[in-house]
Amino acid sequence: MKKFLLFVVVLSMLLTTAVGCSSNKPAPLTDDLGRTLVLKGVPQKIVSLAPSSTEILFALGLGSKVVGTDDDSNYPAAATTLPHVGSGYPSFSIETIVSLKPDMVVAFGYSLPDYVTKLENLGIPVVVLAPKGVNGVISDISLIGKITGAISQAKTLTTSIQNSLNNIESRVKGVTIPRVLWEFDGTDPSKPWIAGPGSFNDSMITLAGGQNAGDIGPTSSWQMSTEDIIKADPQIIILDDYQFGVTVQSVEQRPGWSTITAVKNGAIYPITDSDLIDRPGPRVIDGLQILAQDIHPELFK
Amino acid sequence: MPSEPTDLLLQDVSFSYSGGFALHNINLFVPTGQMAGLLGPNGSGKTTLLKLATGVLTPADGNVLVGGENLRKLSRREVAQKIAVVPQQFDIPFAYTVEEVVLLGRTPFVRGLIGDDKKGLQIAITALDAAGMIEFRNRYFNELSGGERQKVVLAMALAQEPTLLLLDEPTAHLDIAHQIEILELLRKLNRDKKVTVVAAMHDLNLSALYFDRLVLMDHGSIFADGSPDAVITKEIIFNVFSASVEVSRHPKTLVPQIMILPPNH
Amino acid sequence: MFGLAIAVIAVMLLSVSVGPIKISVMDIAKMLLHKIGLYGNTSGWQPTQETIVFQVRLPRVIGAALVGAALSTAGVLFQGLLRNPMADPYVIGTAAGAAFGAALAMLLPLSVVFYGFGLVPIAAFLGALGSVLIVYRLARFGGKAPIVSMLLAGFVVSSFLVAIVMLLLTMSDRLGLKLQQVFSFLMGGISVTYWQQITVIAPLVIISIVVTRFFAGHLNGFSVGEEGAAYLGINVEREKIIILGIGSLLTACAVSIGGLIGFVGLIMPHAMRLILGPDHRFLLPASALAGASFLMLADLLARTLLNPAEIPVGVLTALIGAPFFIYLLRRTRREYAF
Repeated sequence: MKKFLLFVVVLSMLLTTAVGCSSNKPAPLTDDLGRTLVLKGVPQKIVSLAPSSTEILFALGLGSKVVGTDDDSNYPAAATTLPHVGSGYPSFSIETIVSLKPDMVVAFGYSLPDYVTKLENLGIPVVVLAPKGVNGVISDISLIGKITGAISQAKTLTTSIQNSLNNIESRVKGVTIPRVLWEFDGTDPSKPWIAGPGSFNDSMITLAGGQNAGDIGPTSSWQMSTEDIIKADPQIIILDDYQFGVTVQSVEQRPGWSTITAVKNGAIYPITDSDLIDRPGPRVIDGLQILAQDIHPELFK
Repeated sequence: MPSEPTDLLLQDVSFSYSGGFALHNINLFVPTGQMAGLLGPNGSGKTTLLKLATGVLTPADGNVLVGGENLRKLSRREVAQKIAVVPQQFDIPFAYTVEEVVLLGRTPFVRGLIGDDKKGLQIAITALDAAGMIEFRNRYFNELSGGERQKVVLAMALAQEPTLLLLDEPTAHLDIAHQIEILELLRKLNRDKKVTVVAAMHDLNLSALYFDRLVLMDHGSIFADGSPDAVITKEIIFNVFSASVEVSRHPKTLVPQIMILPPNH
Repeated sequence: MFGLAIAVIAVMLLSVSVGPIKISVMDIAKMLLHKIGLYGNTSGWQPTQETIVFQVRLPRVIGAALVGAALSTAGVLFQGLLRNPMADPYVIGTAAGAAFGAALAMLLPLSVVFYGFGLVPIAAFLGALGSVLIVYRLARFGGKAPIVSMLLAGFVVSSFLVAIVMLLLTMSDRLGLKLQQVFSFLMGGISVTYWQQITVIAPLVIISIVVTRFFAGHLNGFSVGEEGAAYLGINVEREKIIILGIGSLLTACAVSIGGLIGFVGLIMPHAMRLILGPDHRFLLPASALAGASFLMLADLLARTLLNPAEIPVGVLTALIGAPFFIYLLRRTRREYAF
């Protein structure tokens, strides 16, 4: 009897190990657009098609594996010397990408860009990132970590970002939520372009303890008339068009805007480093910190 | 209608288009009250001469004088108060009524912000009546037939109360009845109101019937100038038109009439 | 005509009274009267309401009226001068020139404010006028600029400038960031921020429109062709330049406030011709007044229908204008309707 039981136990252990091994194959990975990724091993030569992706790769210590970037990748400094493959606008140079012989391309886009299909037809796997909010960035970092085998570096980075995020969230919890207006483009001062619902900036505002006054609009970027802005009466205005010459003073002088609380209180904050706050990469948490300071100066000294 | 007599004088006039065609040394005097016909093959310079006579083209050499005044010294407005033109082609892209079109003839006399020009309207109506088109007053110009339109255009010219009336092939494209109608009208104007008339004509026989003086042009110069008898001769017609004709006399009026001799008869 | 004038005022009052923030017509009337010294009692409305009416709504509504009047009048002028019922204020290159100017301005990192106008409207204004100048010079030969040549030159210059704008859009990252704004300009929308803009544009537009009235008889004369017009005593080349100039100035003014608003300049003259006939002495003032009312109405709908989102005015002018025009067309029994 004992011998028989021992035999059953050993047999079942062997069986479970065998079964367990086969289910230890990693679950298929999907990118932000829900596409299943098929990779032939750990990528060694990566092309990044967005500044945010470049930053993620370098932050994970994968800088040596990046063989090319888009024209606008400007951080970190090491990335600027890499070969450029064009810019998303109007379109990347497929030929240049292919000539770098990458075994993975990291792209960015909330809908599938058509160059992705072209690249995949040429046998180059493409990962598309489309982060929604800071949490989206965190999951992107994990994803890249899993794909490239830099799992522990990814964990370190995401933990750090998550901690900072939790810190900010806990500080702004329960505090009154001011109305925030985020201006993209003030070329037409009578109806400037405003961050609307579903935009990245919209999620940033919420995380920083504010309420996006522009979320009553139809799209993620829309023109809001002066009268509607006056009606919404934002308490804080963020100027994301500094580089086009829009100054705090010019905003204050817009007719009718003197009735707006943000103008009355001088709470108009221009963004001087939009790379920090508009780029969905690892440094976005620093941008969020700055935003939270603007929205709740009393909480962040 | 006119209050002062007007004659037309082209003095040593030369002109050339940039394309090359030129008028040389034109000397032509049309005394007040004359009805002169301008003849010549296509491209001989009839239309060009008329345009020089109106001042729309400026001669390179020589002068054009109307009633003794040099056209170079007159503004377009002043010219239009003396000279009226009935051009060959006339089409209006908008729905003006006949009355509105004839009223256009008052343009050279209207000043600035005129709301109602009662006197002008009266003159326009008279002109329309003289052209025999008074019943068409409220019809749309574009709805009229070719002959009817030509008469309206003539009425418009008459509304200018010109002392000199120039016409560019007024009978072209019209059927016989209308051709005669127009020419009768012109003759009546000329005889009754002493309007000087110069018309470019293509029909030699009709010209001989209605005009006291014919000016025949060829290759930019005046080839012959005089009464129908003097101008319409077998030799002259052959030289200028390269056509063989037989010239006979009109049974009633005795003016020369041509009969075409086709080459194979 | 008097009726049209009353309509303009009524529409203006209506337009000013409608908006996201509720202000009654009575209050607005009182505010206006108070402003000109006829009403002493200042209670009954809040200062923010007054700010909104006088600093936000009124300039915009007046801007819409001016644009509507300017485009309609320009349309009449070009249709009459070019003897072409299909002509609109943009036909000899003004639209392409304005788009070119605007695109260039959006490329530059300058922030200029001149009498309330930013770089974009100024560049659009200059671009519109500049392109007409080029078209005229191209068409001019031997001291004359025949109308057919101008139409052709207009087409050619427009195509060229549009191609350059497309090129800029493709090649410039910076312009790519401004793509939405470029598009917004092209679709048209009343954009008045400062009263100064009105004080500059209003006299230009109003005086131009009044001056055109003096040319009404001669515009009628142009209907018979350039040659016929000369026979009627019109100094054709000189008046062509003047009428072209005024038409282009009106269009440039309209573009500087409203971007490229289409449809009004083409259809309003036709609509008025169907009602009043082609005599320019009536057509000109009527088109200006009707155009003003129409555009104020279109702008009103543009900003209220999908509030807070705004429909581009050019879209609305076509949406309401087209059915209205078809209705007019069917009502008229003339074959040669225009």
